[in-house]
Amino acid sequence: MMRGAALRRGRIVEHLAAGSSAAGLALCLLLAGGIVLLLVRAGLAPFWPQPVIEYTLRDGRSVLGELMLHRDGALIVRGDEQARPGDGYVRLREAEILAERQPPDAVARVHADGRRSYRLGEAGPDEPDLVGVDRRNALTFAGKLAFFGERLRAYAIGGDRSGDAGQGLLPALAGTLTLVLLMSLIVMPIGVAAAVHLHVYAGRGRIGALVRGAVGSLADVPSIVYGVLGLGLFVHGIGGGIDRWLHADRLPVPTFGTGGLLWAALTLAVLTLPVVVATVEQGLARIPDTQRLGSLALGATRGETLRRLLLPQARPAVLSAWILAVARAVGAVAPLMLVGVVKYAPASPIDAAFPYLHPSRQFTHLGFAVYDQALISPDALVGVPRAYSAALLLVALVLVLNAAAGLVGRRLRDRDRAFPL
Amino acid sequence: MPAMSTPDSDTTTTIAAQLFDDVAIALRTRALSLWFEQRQILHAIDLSVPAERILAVIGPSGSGKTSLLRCLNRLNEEVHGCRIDGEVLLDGTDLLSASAPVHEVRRRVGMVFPKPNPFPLSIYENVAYGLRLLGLRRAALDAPVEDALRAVALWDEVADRLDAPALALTPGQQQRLAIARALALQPQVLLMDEPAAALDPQSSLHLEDLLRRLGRRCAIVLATHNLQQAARVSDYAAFISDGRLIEINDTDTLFTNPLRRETEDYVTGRYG
Amino acid sequence: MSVPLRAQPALDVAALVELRRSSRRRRERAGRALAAIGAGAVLASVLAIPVFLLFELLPSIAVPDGTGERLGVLLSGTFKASVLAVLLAIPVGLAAAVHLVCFSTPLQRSRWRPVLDLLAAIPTVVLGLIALTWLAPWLQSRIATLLVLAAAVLAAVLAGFAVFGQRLRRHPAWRPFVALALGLAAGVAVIAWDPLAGSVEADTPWNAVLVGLALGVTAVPLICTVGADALQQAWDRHVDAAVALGASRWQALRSLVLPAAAPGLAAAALLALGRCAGETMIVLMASGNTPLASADPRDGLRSLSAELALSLPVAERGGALWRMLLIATLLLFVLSFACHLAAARLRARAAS
Repeated sequence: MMRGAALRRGRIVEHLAAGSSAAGLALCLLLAGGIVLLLVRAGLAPFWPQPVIEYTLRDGRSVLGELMLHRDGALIVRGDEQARPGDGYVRLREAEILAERQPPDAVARVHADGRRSYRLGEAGPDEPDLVGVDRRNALTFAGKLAFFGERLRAYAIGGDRSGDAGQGLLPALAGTLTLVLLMSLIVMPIGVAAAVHLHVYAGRGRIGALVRGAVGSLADVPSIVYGVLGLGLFVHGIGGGIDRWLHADRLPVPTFGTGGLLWAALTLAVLTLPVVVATVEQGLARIPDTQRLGSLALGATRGETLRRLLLPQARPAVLSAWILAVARAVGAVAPLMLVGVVKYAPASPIDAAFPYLHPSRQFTHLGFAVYDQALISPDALVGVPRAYSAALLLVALVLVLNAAAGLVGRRLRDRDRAFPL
Repeated sequence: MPAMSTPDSDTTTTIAAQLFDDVAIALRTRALSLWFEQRQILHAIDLSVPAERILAVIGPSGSGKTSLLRCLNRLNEEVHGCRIDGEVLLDGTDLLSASAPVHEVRRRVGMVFPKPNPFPLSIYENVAYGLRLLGLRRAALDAPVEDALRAVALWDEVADRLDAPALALTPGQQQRLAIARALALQPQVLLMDEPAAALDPQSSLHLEDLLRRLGRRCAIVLATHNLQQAARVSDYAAFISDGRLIEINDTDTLFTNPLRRETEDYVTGRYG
Repeated sequence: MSVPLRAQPALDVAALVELRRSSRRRRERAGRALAAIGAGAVLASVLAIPVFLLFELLPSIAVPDGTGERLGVLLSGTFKASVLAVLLAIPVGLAAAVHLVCFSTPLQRSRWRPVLDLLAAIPTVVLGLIALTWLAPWLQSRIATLLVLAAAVLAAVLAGFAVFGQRLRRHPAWRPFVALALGLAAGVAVIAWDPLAGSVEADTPWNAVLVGLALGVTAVPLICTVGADALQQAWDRHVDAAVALGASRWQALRSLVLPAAAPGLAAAALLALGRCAGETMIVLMASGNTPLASADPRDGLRSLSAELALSLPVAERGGALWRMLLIATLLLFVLSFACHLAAARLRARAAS
């Protein structure tokens, strides 16, 4: 039958359309899940104890160390470091290896200057600068887990001498949090006030529409452009002005006229302002107008209506605006590179010395640590795993913040509204 | 007298002779006109609201009843692009003039909306809302809140749960709460915009009882398109059509023996 | 002596109003002023970028030598990366949007939303890191494999749905997971077999294909959400009429919904283009930053944004490089603004 064939063909076309479009969604899931899994694996791997391997070569030599990389028929093994960390790498071709084994009596040692060395049997001569000794090949799974936890802890809080950790993530995390906190203090009052002005005072007028449109277009301006604004206007313009006025005695050494925490926070505040204004205004607009009119009809002024009736109801929107702003700011690395992020902050922007917060100081940042360790680190075999650790922490931070915003936002939204923007 | 001009003229209002001779007038409008953007909503309305009586404003939907009410407490000013011309006189002063702060006008001219709109606060705080704005503390609020709730016959129903959320009340109770909320501020005039529009017939009748009692307490302007309701409740009635005040008279006369042809058509259901 | 409450004289509200008049007026004015200050700050920050750039650039019209060629190279790099990224992201994002709007229930839509949110929330510096260290070494000799991979995955999914589609009708929520399994199987097979490894060798592991792939990941959720929005509007408007005429979902989509949603979909692509053109960290990390004016996707590139991040910290204020970089910033700003305006126009047209 002609009709039957046409019908069947139509049905198959429908299946094909459903399937190929489902593949797009599947790829999104694969990307999201794959990236998170990759980060978890690559970010945590450096803390898991790698076995110490003894390679016996065809020419009779033997090499003791950790396998760092196996690619294109060659192995890179981290062996004894004599003078400084990173000088003990050995490149072995697969062809020249006769045998390899994991001797249970192998000892991995860490020196006070970060060097590693490996011994068999006894711990070797008791050198004075040894800070850590472990027999990791002999560890049980539970022992390895404890070792992993210990190294992770040491890395997270810094001051770790016995792992691949270097400076640790604590300064970068502290710098990131201080930065977004300072930014929040700037952006939230301004953003909420502006949203209030748009909703309560400007109304549907022409000025309100103008500001709304401008705020919307600001959201699409690339973050690096904000960085240029921060450098040119805040650092050179305002900071330089403050220096000429207050710290003239110290010129030409700049105090405020160079990148620092305050200017970075200001830059991020401008960057996140559109998010805050739009979210808070949406929250205010979601309150039924009858409530506002009801309050006005009872002789309340606009300000009283706002303070007693509208703002308390918009509190979840304000909270979710704050979380979204912080999530956006934590991920914005490019502008920071122009306004004062550094690899190692010579002095932390927060310390015990009065006035405790030093807004003109430079700072470190998790996102910048990712970039810096991956691209600029002198020792890529160590730097890249560190970059992944920082990236894992950064992504965890952003995802937790976004999930929190989602939970807060769900209280506002109808769950089954059509797929919203 | 211009007010008694030819019965079939479109533009003037027919007011029965000696209608307001023996009652005090609470509020009076003079040549009140209203525009939204370029569209004229109200045309030169001269309306008198007798004190301590109920005035029903009747007319088809879209004839300007709500707009007229919202002129009397200046709520139209919340709408963008609105322009008002004329006078609204309360105690001899013009409410529309800039000298009167708008929020004080609204305190003296209360309003109840078609749909119950309790604030997401407790029952107590809903009634106390307007008084708190005047700086009163809890100790001074208990008495006026109770008074207001008793006045709308809600006290006995909610006395034991004053701190419960107002949104948990039934629509009928919510609407009475909205009236109590307005009464707590001791308004001189109470504007009611289709107060029974969202209620079931039972609650609606209950509300009408309440209105009849409140009508001895302050002036009430009741906008409604429910003619039976207007006939049952009000002392006076005004008929509005297309933004023009056509006729005003005591309710019985207006419904049984209207002076104007348009009014007769409307009240006998021959309108349109 | 205690006086019962009810015996007190009635509250005189009018007197209270009188009493509080001046303090309420003060507070109202203060509140209004605060709000106006906030709005003023927002307006200032909106104007800050263009005003600052013009203020810095205007004093002299002179453009340093070589600026034009330099900017041309950077602009071509920006376009190469972002156009490639959007071209890669459009099929994926649109397919996902179509599936969400036409083949999913509202419940499924709300369950898939967090996946897209998650993808959109990943900081770009992390994507740059993955592209740089994980993808780049593999991709260098396997650009051709990528095409085989895409073809094989699509073929596997189509074949699978031609066979199993009828059975999946009763479990529409399983479709993406079935597609995932089919695609993964085909993809793993192609990667393990790797027939074309080394057939197209890129000179550098950091090439435009790599940048396009990483940037594409940021563009997919954007295209999907904006596109789904446009599709949903058109779907709501037209699907009843189409179904009343006996059309299937696919026929309704192709004949009515897609044409009606086309401006909105174009807006989604434009927004993604603007976003990718301004994106810095991915390009900075994965592009190799070689200032080449070449259209070959196997070559590296250097974009406007990467140039700003690399050169501005070392540029002397007011010097030739500084001026060149500010012009680059202005270009980037105008570009993103134009994309935003055009997208807003298109979306308004789609909505009307």
